[in-house]
Amino acid sequence: MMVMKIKEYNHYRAGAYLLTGFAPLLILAALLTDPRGYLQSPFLMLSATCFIGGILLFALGGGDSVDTRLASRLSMQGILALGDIILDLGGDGAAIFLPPENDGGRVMQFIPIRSTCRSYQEDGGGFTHHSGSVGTLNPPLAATILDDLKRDNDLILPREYSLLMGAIREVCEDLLSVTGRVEVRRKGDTVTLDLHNYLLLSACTHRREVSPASCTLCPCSICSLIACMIAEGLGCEVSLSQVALDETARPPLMRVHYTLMEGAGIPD
Amino acid sequence: MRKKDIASVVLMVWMLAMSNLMGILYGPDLRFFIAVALMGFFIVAYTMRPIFSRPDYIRNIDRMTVAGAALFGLIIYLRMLELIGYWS
Repeated sequence: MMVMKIKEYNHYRAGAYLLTGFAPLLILAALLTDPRGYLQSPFLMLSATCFIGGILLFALGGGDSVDTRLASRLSMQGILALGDIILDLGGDGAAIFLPPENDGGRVMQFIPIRSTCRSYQEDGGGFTHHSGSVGTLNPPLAATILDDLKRDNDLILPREYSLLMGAIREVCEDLLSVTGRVEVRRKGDTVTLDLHNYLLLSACTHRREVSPASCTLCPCSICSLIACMIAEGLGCEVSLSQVALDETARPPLMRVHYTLMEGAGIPD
Repeated sequence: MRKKDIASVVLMVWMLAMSNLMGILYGPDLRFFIAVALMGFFIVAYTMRPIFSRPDYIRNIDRMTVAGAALFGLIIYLRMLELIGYWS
């Protein structure tokens, strides 16, 4: 049985305790080597270095860290079942993230439904028409995370493409700390993001093994969050066109392709 | 390597380099060293600050910056008192 543990301290806190622990030892060394001129001792400066470094590491740490395997499994709870339900109801193609209709609005997710499956609901209730196709309209899975980031972490979504990509990098690398590095490329309407060392990659691999079609049909976790940010920031419709995982790469890589609907008019 | 890791490594390298340099060039002075180290910290804190969001650790860094600024001010004040005493 795989043992999953919640780490009591993260590495920053451990480093902070180590460095601040060294500081008094170095002061002691300064006192023992030169009791009279200890104020001019190099040990005292090393002690100050350890102390300031320790405080910085303490400030950078904070918050409890959870084992990544546990976090990735928790993030997938219910997603697989939801994907299966959408597929069973006739979901087909890729979900489209619709920008908010007004300033206070929210991003919505349109999931197209196959025409043969629309007879489930004879009165047409629950279905919406969008660009000639019929489907369901509901808030994306990452809508709540985006709201939380805006409220708790003062997240701002710029309107310019290049600034928005900077904000996405910041969210993935600094705010959520789920990736080591994010690379963004654009070719016409397609925006490709390389998420290096994505922490929840094992969950994505598992989902793609079970149901590859549901990945683009009902994007989850980081893919959904990035799509929401693009849709809201640029004010254009976005769909997740492809996800490629490479666990053998060093570091592991997740490549996500987004298609901007009518995105050719958006300058780089 | 994440921004946080780079920031902590850069600050440690800066402080160790400065302490060695001060040891080599002239007699070590703890107050001057702390002032130099704090200058390095202020630069690191400024450059690592995200533009579009405010992660939780930035709040801690802000508190540390305020404390560091107070300490820096105290060191400058004491140095000025020393200089005034020397000139008069």
